[in-house]
Amino acid sequence: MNPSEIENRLRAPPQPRPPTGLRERLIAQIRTPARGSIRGNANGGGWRRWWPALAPAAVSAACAIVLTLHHLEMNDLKDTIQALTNAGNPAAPVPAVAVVDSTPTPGTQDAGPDELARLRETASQLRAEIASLEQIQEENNGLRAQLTAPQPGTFTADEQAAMDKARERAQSIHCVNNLKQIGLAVRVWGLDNGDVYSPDFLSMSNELSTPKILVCPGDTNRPVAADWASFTGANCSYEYLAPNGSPAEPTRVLARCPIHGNIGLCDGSVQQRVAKDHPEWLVQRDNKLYFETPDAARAVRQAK
Amino acid sequence: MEPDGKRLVDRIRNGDPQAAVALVDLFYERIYAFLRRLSGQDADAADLTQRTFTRVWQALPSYAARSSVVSWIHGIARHVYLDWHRRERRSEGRPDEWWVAHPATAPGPDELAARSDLSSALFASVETLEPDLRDTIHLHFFQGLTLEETAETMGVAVSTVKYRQRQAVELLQQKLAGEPAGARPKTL
Repeated sequence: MNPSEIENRLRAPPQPRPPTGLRERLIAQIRTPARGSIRGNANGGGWRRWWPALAPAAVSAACAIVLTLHHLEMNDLKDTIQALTNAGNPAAPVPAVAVVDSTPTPGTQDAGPDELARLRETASQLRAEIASLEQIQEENNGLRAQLTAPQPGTFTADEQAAMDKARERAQSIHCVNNLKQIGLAVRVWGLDNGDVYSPDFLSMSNELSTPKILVCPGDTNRPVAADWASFTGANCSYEYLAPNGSPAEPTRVLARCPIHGNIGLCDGSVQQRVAKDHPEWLVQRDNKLYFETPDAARAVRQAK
Repeated sequence: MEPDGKRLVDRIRNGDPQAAVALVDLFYERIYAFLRRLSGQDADAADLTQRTFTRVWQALPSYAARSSVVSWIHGIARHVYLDWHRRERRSEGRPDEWWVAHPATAPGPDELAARSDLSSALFASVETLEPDLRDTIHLHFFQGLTLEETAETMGVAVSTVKYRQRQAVELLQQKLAGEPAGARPKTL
């Protein structure tokens, strides 16, 4: 039997007849929905499907209409204020339109001198208010200048010097803290990368957590990057001197602050003001910078 | 038939009981025959037909007219049968005696006598197919649904129905020729 013959035979299957009484039973169990109980039918189902999109659109359209109306009202008010200002200030330049159309309108004629006097009185009141506002503004500016100006009578010269010294010391301590955090971040990065330190600051952004610690507090002109995405070299005060370094070189200088002279070493420690007070303790070998005190240098020489 | 079906559904949704009666008259014989061939028992088929129409009335408010009415009702009937079959754990296939007792009527009485055995064997072989192939044969050939309607009823693509149909006919050809259906392809 070929496939077409099989298909022809399959199209003529036995047709069993339903038993008597089945139709009546089926009709008896009919349950039609009550009229109007179906809100969304085949034709009206579109609204039910689209209302989540249409409702916000309608709200937006309503907001746009309200804003337009407000805008128009504001324009009307501005025009009214402008007209009143022009009427109450004879010295103000008269618009060109007013010059062309200089004939008084019937409404103006009806207003008469009383209206003009009232407007002039209003204008004089407004001028007085403006004058008082200007006076307040001048006082405000004076107070601001007073606040920003140095107050020589507040501190003596010694006190001022002590204050400056204390501020610088605080900033230096802050700088040391930054270098400590950098050293810690480098060592954590190295732990995850086979004891090889990061090639630059940006590579260890996860370990540093924030670019704020890369700006020395004494470096007041340098902006702090808002996040790592916007971080550039201009947002970093410290010099990174040990790219791809390792913990096997504990005395190698990792980072240096050019302002305070603080240095961070590859072992995570920080030495204060070394680069400024003892630059001879920084020794360069193989294009690497090492921190070596005289005693340590002597020991190295003896070992060699 | 189909425009009538959709119009009837719209009228029923508007609360017209006469339209509901007309819908029953339009479909109940086909649905009964479909379920009778699948279930193999008159009483079961009548019961399943009643369950099918009960579900039709329940599902009518949510009918979105995305498929034709005939596909929709056949889909409900198929799911009613599958639920019943799973619950009752019925064995697949109709007994050969049933197919012998219900020979095809289309070719005519004289030709039927000569071809009765072959047709009965063919219809019995359909019941030995895998359920997806068997349902495709039932819906497309026995019920006369188009390929699109069969696909809508079974919830598959038209191409899948075509593939299953061709596969089923090839398997039936092998069975009738007495060949072992060794390399039986998988259904989609």
